[in-house]
Amino acid sequence: MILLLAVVMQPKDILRFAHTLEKEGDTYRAITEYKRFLYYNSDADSIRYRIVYLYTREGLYGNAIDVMRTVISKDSLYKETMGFLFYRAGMYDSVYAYWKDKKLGLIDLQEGKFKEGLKKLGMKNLSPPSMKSPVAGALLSVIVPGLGRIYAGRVGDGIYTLLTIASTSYFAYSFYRENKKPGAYIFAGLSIFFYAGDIFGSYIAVNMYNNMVKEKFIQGIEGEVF
Amino acid sequence: MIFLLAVMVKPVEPVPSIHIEKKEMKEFIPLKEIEKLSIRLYQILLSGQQGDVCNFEPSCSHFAFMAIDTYGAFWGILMAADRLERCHPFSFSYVPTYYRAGFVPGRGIKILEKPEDVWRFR
Repeated sequence: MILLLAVVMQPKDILRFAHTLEKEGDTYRAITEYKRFLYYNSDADSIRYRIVYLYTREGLYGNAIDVMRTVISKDSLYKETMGFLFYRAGMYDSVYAYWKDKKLGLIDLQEGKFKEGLKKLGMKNLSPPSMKSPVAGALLSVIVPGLGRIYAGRVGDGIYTLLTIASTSYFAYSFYRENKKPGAYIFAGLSIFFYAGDIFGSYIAVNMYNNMVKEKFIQGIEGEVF
Repeated sequence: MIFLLAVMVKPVEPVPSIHIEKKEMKEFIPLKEIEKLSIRLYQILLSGQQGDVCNFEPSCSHFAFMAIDTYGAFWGILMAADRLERCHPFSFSYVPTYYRAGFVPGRGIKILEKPEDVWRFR
């Protein structure tokens, strides 16, 4: 039966089937069918680009790069696409081999060099995003527990942390006053545990906030560049 | 005949000696093991009685266990403390939580019902 199908199915039919699968959203099977079509027409670069597009849509940049390496005509479109795929995959060193224009500024932005990146992109008028200091966040948490998280924009976490540390400290103190030392030690330990966790967490929260701001800023610029 | 047999029958190749690599024993750090044991005890004795109440996936205790196992006793416990401070009903402002809290007029802040499409995050 399979042999019969193999005989009956012509390359055109395979391509039509692949298009149908793609329309239905069955991406991976569509890729398989496109690859099967390439077996018959190995010089069809347009199909390779189709496969690359599908892999990119699924976020599989490594697979897309592998397919791109088999593209026959290494023209400007090839270089642009390869650069884009390496950029998306986070392999910035490899991007320099394919991109030569102002788009290289995006790599500087990804590496946190905002001024240089904007200069390369020709967007001097744009001001770089305002970042917050993770050390300042941690120090704020040292002074007032939870303040570092509020500084990072996580108000709920900050209030909850303050309440947690305040209540455990209060219990530790009240147990100590009543001369119940085991309880006092347990709650003092919990208090220190949450206090240390808050300082560490504030540092991380500010870093996460900075990453979020950076990503939003770069996404905005990518929309203009690509 | 013997000549034919000698040609057809291949000599038996010696079985290659199987080399089994011994698994490297993990370094035993008492503090780390005590922390992991206490988390396991919590999971066995207490966690089951609370039910599925954690906002996160994997749950805080599993996260703490993995963090201590991967990053060691010091950094792991800090990560666990940070995670516990983030796991609360008031995180609804930026995270769609498992058990959401909301302001209900006349009743103050109340834990709302579980949303149908539970979206958990790490």
